[in-house]
Amino acid sequence: MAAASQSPPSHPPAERPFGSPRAEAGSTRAGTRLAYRAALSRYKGARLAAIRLAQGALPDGSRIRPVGSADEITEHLDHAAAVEALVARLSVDSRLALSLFALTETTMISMAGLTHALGILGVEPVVATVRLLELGLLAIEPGPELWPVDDFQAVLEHGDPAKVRLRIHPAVPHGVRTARPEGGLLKVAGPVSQVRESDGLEPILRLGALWQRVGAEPLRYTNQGTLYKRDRERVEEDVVLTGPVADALGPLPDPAALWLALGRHVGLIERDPTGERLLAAPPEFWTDNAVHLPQMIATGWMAMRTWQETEGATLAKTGASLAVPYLRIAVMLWLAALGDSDWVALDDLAEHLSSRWPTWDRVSLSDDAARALTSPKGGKSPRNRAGAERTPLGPRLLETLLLGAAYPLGLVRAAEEQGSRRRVVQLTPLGRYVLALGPTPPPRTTFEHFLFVQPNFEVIAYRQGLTPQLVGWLSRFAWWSQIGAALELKLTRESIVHGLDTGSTPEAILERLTRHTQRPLPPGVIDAIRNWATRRERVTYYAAATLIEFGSTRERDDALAFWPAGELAAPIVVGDRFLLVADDRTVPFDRLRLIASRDYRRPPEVCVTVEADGVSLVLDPARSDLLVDAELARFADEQPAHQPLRGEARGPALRRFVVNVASMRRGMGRGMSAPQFAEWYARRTGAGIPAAVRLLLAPKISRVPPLKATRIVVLNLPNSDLLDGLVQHPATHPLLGDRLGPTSVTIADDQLGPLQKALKGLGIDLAIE
Amino acid sequence: MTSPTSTARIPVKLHKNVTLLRTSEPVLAEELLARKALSRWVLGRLSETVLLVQPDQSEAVFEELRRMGHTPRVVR
Repeated sequence: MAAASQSPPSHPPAERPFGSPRAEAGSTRAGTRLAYRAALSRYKGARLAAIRLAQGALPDGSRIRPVGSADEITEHLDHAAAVEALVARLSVDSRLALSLFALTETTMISMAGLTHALGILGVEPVVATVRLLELGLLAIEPGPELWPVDDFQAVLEHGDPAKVRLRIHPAVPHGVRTARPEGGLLKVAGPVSQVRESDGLEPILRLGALWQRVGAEPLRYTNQGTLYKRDRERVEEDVVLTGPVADALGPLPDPAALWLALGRHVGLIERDPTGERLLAAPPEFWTDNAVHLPQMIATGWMAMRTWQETEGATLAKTGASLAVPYLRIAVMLWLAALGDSDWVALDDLAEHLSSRWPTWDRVSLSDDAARALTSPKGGKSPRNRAGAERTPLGPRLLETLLLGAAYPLGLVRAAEEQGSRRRVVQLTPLGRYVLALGPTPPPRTTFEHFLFVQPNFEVIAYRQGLTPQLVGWLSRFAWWSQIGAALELKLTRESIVHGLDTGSTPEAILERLTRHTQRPLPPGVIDAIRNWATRRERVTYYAAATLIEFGSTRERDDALAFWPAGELAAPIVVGDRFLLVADDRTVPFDRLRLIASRDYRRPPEVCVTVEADGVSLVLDPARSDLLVDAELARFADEQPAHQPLRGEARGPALRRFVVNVASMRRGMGRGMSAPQFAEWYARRTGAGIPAAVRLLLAPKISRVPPLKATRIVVLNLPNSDLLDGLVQHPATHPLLGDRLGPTSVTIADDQLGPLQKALKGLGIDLAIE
Repeated sequence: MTSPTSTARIPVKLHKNVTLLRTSEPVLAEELLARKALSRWVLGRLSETVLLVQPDQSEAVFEELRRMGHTPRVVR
């Protein structure tokens, strides 16, 4: 076996399983196809032609051109028959490589990860991968230094395995049947005893609890894309989420990170469109997916790249590429190589893996990263320096992987070999099903009356009666307070309101509890649920309602008369001229004429005009919104509506407001400051505060000094020559004020006498009225 | 003038994505308005039982309603 790529460098590009999380951009089939095609576009033309020739003609006999293109190769693989024909030509080794993509629903794997997984499976990675590349079933994406791609062998040998990515065409996983690895896994010869199999409910219960908690209070992300400390601690310190797993056979580190990652993978919690918060999925998720949830969770676990069984999410946070995820799927495939009734001892399995891939139990694809994790503060420990860096985890890692994680997920059974008392494992029907190697597992045997509702609102649930559907139902309206061998829930006002918010009714909740309880429901519980539901109806919060504004009450009533009756809620009358509509689909737009529309999620519009006097404001009825009314009411008084005169054209009534001293005082009394006035005028009028309003504002924001008034006389002269002379002559010049024009000048009251005297000296009389 | 049988369309103005609080009784709306920590987010009163609320303050409004002992029905 080639030992190539056993020690790939650290920090590989992120690998993205499809559907994980489902809301992420690019997770669609179209995005995957585009990425595959983009990788092909970096191939040399001759290489593309060779792939196209290797693929052969389509089943319909289309001819192959001597020059192939990325589009032709991509389109060829869109045909399921073409994919099946190509897969049929593959060796088991190459089909095992494709199985890794298909079973983890992954669209891209780094060469480092693929090498590790194939090595554990006893496959020569380069040979198996090159064959897939030659047929175009995979596309290779090395760094730019190796573009354009021609010789696959050379790229795999010289490229950085952590940076070389392998992309799969989205149709290929659907055409692949799971291949089993070949080569003598030693099964247990003797009988086994103490067979144990989990009920597989553990992840579903934890995700149910996580869903209701995120629903009650979303988790927030920082700008760095990590959860806020407070929110992270809320999850980590919640014993319902992170308490020990019932019936545990092995350790499960960092359970909070595991449940969060699984919740996101299956789509039970998802990022909001802004990416700032993690929200609970709608309750329909349970209806749509409960049956398939165990399989979805198992696939999510096999595909998980941010958490691993040795230390949870700690190593992934350093940017290292985790190795255990590749071991996970490889070990599951090795177990699938056994017969349905065969068992394998963990130490035999560990030895078997060691013989095929000596570093199968590494924790990181980068030795540096692993060292950083095990050495305090990343420093070099004496042990590391000595070169004996790796302490083999061996069977201990298999215990954590299979007994700590796969067992509670319901994927493996555990037992003891009689005599030696060695721990042995085998796949369960669910384990074979998620590997696409067995039929749908039979449904759990349940019993109807599994609840015990107590008068103190505590509910005990017996696990044997639960199914994923029922976990979803209970998670809506009952707060999980303990998940262990015994399950406890609590009915509270908040939990019932959560149930009502997610579409239940009080009667449906009571019916569900009555159907499954062992004894009649306590009367106090029934009364409380009904009372909480009634109280909830007292206040309704509309996050994004639609209000329809009519010109008059009469028009509103006319509209109500023809409003269609239906299953959706009828409109609610608000005030004289409004109808409140919870759902736009009920609005009979064919009978209404839309004269204006305002979306309150958009920034407010400029909708106020300032009149010439500066203090009068006119509201534009077409562009105004309801908020501006409230804003204006704070600092302006509405004026009576203008009644059109006879013969005057009637248009939409303009509403006028006036800012005066009293209204300004009112606004400032309500906390409006000068900057807020400036912001309001800029936002609503598109201009600054008018001078007249600034005048009203001035005495309120700073002390205006007392003003001084003086009397001024205006002297008008018969012509400009005379005024020019007065302005220039030294006897009169100091006695004049500002010149107002060619023949007018101001004179201060106290200068009038001296001017009269000076003019008399010049032979001019000045009469004073 | 429009009548139910008229084919003339009634002119309307649409206000979309408005945030509102509606109470079952007017006295309850008064109670909410009297609560200082809540009334700061109330921009206006459209009727005896319907209050116009600042759109980006849902968390603060919920929190205050909870403190008052209300568990409002939420219509999104």
